[in-house]
Amino acid sequence: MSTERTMSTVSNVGKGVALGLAPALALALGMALALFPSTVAAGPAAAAGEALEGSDPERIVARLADAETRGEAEEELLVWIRELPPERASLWLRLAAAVDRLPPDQVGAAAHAVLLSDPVFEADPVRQVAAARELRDAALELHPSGQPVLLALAAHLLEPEAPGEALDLRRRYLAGGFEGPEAGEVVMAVARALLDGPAPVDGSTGVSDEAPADEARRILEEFLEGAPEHPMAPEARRLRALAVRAGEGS
Amino acid sequence: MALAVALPILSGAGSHLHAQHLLVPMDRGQSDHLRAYGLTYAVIERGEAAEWLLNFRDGAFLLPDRTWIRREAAVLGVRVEAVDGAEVATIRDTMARGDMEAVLLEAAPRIAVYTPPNSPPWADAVTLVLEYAGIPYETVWDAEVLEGRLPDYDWLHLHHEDFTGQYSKFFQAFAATPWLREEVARNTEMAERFGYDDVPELKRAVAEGIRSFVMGGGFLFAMCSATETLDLALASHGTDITASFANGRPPDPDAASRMDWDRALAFQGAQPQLSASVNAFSDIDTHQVNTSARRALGSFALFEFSARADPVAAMLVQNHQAVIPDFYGLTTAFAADRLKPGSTILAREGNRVKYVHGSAGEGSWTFYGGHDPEDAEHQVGDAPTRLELHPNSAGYRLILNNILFPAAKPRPLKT
Repeated sequence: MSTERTMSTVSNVGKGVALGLAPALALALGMALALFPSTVAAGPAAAAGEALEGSDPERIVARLADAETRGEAEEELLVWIRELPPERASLWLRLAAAVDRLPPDQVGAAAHAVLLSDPVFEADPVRQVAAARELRDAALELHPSGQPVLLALAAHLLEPEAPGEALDLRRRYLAGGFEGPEAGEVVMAVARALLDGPAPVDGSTGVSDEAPADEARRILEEFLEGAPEHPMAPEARRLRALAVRAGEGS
Repeated sequence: MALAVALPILSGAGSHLHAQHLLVPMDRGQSDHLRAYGLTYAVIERGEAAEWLLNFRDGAFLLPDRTWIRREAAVLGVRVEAVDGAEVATIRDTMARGDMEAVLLEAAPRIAVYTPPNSPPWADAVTLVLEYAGIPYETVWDAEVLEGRLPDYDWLHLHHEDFTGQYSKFFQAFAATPWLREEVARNTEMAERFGYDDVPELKRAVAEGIRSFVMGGGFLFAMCSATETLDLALASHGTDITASFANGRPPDPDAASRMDWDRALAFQGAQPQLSASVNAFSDIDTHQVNTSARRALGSFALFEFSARADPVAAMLVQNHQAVIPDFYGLTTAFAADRLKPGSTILAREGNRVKYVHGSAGEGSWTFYGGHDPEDAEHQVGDAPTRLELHPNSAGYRLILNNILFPAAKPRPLKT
């Protein structure tokens, strides 16, 4: 992305974060706001129309997987997302926010996994879980510096069908001490999973010595200590109060 | 002069003159006023020194700079400012130039909340804020009072209790509800267990136990109907003011002339409401919320007090907001002409006193009218207030001022 677009994105991300948006979502919207005006301003309306004409997620995914067309595909993706209903848009926004932070050789796999998770395009949970597990496996083979985005994305995609595996991946994320834009979301997801009741057991390999409520409280307090004014801090404090109460009751 | 006065506080840890402190501002810059009290309570509970800076930045706290306190503040969402020795000296100099005073907060008070062991269909504002602020407390009820266990505590809270034994006169509206039937059964069993003929007699004995607690040096904080009914119960020992549904007998029609107000803590000369069909206790309450004479709510204004000349009253009114929207309770506010002389009015709206403090024997009491500062028209069965939505509640701050007040050690005034 150009420096100008980067600055515009950063500004819009700040506004998004200030509005309480999850940082990942704020980043994606910031990109959209920064890129779309540039796309329109680059030429006559036909330029924007050319970007939209023939766009479809399968084509976009294929172009994302190709390093030569990835940049244009990112723009097309953001334009296409604007047309989606919220329940689908959030999934694709997650991908859009992650593309620049993914290892280049994993972008295609990530995009494909997201495509399989889109309920409009694929209703096969087996293939969806398989694709998400491939992402997980790829993440675990990476150097830690390259892991966080893939771990978080894989966990998100696994959650509906394999919540235990999703919890494990998120725990790995937290154990790795990662501090990406998705960190807050990961903390909240782990805390909620721990507080919602018995830990999911499907394929779960993660074993914690702590009682669930104690673990939830610990990760929430660590999060708050590091980012007391994070947009998700009020939710973290609410969950922490639940964890304290659950811990006292045990 | 300011330094000469300040030194006794610092001399106990001389090296702290050069150490950092944490200032907890309580003006509008504070992110969570209510949990700031909880943070301060936690500090003194762990034996650390804390100061309450009366009238400085709306009642700021000065805490030692410790890693665990910084962490706790971050976790709770309480805004703190690191201040070094020079900045603390500047603060003390500023205070010396104005009507401000630093009060040392010592041992954390042991807190008891009087509440029945069932689950009433309405929330208690005090337990809500204690839970929210993370301040520990224990619950007591009639048995603990009658067994003489109140001296185990420093601070006792009463809320929407009816010490006249008339179940808040809810009989007409809620007689068939499970919770009221359970309440009647529980109270009747308690009366039988302790050998009282009826529930009003039981509750009067409990009121006497609470009075003894205050006279012996305890701190009493009462809200809502507990304020009015406690004194009505105490004053009516020689007569009968209760409706027949409570004790099977009609009330004494001359009860008003037989009330012994010398036994009461705050009130005098009130006219008890003897009619069972009128949901009010007496003319102490100015708003009569559940009657045809219901008065509309307004706002009440806090008085200002000299932190040096009247540190107790000053502590109780520390706030970042001087005028607070009123809120109903079975007892909403107190008629000024029903207050005994010698009590200190802390907040009022005209002749309606909202918040009042006084001494009795070795102890003291504070009465605060209304049920929930952030639920102006609370109804039976309403969901409890979510304080995470009201972290800066001025009305709730007044409750918490009373929590810390027993921990304070005001400087002796120079004569």
